[in-house]
Amino acid sequence: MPTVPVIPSVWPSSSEWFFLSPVLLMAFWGVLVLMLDVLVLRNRTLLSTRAKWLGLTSLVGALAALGLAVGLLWPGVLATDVLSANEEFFNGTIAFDAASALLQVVGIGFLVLVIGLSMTWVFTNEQGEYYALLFWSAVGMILMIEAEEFMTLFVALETMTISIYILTGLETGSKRSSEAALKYLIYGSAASALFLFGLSWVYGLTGTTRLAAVGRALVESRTVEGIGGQWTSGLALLLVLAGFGFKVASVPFHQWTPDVYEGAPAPVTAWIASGSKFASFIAMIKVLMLALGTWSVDTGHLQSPGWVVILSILAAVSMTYGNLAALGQQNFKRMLAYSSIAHSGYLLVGVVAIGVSSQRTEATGAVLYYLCTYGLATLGTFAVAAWLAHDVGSDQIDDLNGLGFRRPVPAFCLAILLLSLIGVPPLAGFFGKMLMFMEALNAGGNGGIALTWLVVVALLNSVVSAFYYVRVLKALYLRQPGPAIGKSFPSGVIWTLVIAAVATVGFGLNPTALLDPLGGAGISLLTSPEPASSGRPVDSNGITQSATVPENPAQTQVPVAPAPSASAR
Amino acid sequence: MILSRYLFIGMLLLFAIGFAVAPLVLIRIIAPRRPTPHKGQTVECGLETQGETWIRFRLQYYIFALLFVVFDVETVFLYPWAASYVSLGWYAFVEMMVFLAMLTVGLVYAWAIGALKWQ
Repeated sequence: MPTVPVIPSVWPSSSEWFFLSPVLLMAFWGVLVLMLDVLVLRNRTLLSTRAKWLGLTSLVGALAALGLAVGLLWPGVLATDVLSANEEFFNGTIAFDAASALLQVVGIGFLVLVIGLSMTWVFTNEQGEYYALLFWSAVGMILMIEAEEFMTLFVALETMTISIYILTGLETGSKRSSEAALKYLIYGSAASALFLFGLSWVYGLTGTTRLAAVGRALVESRTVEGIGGQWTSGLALLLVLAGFGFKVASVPFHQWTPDVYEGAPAPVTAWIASGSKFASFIAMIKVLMLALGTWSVDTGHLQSPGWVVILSILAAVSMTYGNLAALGQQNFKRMLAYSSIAHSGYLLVGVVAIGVSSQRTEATGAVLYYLCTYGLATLGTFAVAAWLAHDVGSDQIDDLNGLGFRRPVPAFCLAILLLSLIGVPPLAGFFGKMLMFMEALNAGGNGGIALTWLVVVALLNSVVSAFYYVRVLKALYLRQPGPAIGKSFPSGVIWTLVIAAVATVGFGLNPTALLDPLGGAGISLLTSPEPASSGRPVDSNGITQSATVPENPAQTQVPVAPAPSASAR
Repeated sequence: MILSRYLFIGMLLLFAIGFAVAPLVLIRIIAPRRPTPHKGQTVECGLETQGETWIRFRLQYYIFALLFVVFDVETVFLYPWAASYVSLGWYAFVEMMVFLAMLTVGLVYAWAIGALKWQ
């Protein structure tokens, strides 16, 4: 039955505020950087001085947020009973669990690297706005990962994307940047509208916006007649998938990707490709598994094939299109953009694997592992793209010719990252792909949907992708150095490259170091809170009641996201 | 069921549409129409119409439009809060102060970058 939104009239407990402290710090730090710029530095100092101070301030803030987030992970800082007892965290809108605690560290880690990269060049006059928007998009990103409720999810998503629209267009004097921002804004607004429309259909079918409660209502609707027509379920599913498809740049919704990746300032592109994709995929997994798990396959009450089939097709098409389109690119950024579409395809294979595998948490851990390592590799490669754009003034692959002889360290790091993107063992990219594809083959004990064909397509695509990555490697090591190569690498780029390469090799040689915690995060990501037990005190005015309308007590003990029923196809 | 909860909204929607459409239809049916050049002119508060309708607006207007929307929304939120101030208590008070602080930051920003100066 409908859950009605209630006004919380009790303060969230101190541990709740403590848990959100990294996010709050980043939101505040954005304001601080902005005010520092417009009230103190602007009109008084040179652009380069201003950029340096604002960059340093931002780096301090991001590192402090990272420190807080890591501190929250420290054993004993957050008592486990608090973690498990708090399904009412911020009125049930935010997940207060191990997954949130761990994944926000990764997200803020990406932010630190992007800020470090941004400090290297002065590409915009609006320095204060630039760093403030980076912080606020990170806030949206983290809240999106943690959201347990549709409205929170949507607001967080929009906080992230609207900030990124503006960031895309901030490069001063670049027409391509403005063009990219406009294209991104128009496509993005349409996709957000579709997504919100889909969420409203889900709300209309179930009467609630909380992921777990939606999941329970849909499970019940399999036996109870009349909660929603078949067509409405199918429509809602397609609209939600369209929204996510845009955010992760999978094929029918990918048209913005090459132009935005090419036109945006390179650090922003790195942020879109790592942070935004990371958060969107996690939110997608949460929504599909916790809320729409019942719709994974057609169970007879859904006038659509179910998201397992739809996403399998999207995955296959995304991989093939992205890789084939990347083959012909001479432009480094555009090539990376198409390869990012292809990698969305691989990741969709992982999402499908979560839907069908008998080991859901392992599959989730594999996808998270791939997201983390892919994000790092992307940050590193876009750091080189940024160096090309700002220091060499080009974006052609040919301008990397002979880099391996003149600048051995960055070239070697780039080579490692590209090999990891191909999926060469023993690098992290290989293990990510292998684990995801293994889970996709592991189609559960019910003899249900074997995804063998999808894995075959994915493996063939990995072979195709080797061609264009190897072309860059060839430019690095087999060509005569061009005149552009004399340019030195700024320390921000070197740091990003070295961190990314070391992590890629380290997590490749010892994947369990990352897989174990991420597998744990996978467990708590897929565990939805039980129905609210109204254990919270009510203040003297008695405004807060239990959030559940007490007509339907039979909500317990229903497994959310049940195994797909044995409708073999 | 859920649908019955939205019945009133649906009725309100129908009523609102009818309220707007009915006079138009009624006028079509019963009013006599004898157009003259004077009657066909654009009505602008009784003044003589000047120039074209499709003129360029200065881009600067958008900042005023934005600021107007910001403070419009602020009023929309402030009014119900003020009306039920006593029953909402401290939580709502602090929330509202945070909200106002955010808007103040926006205003300070607009002021500092010179958006409020007409050039």
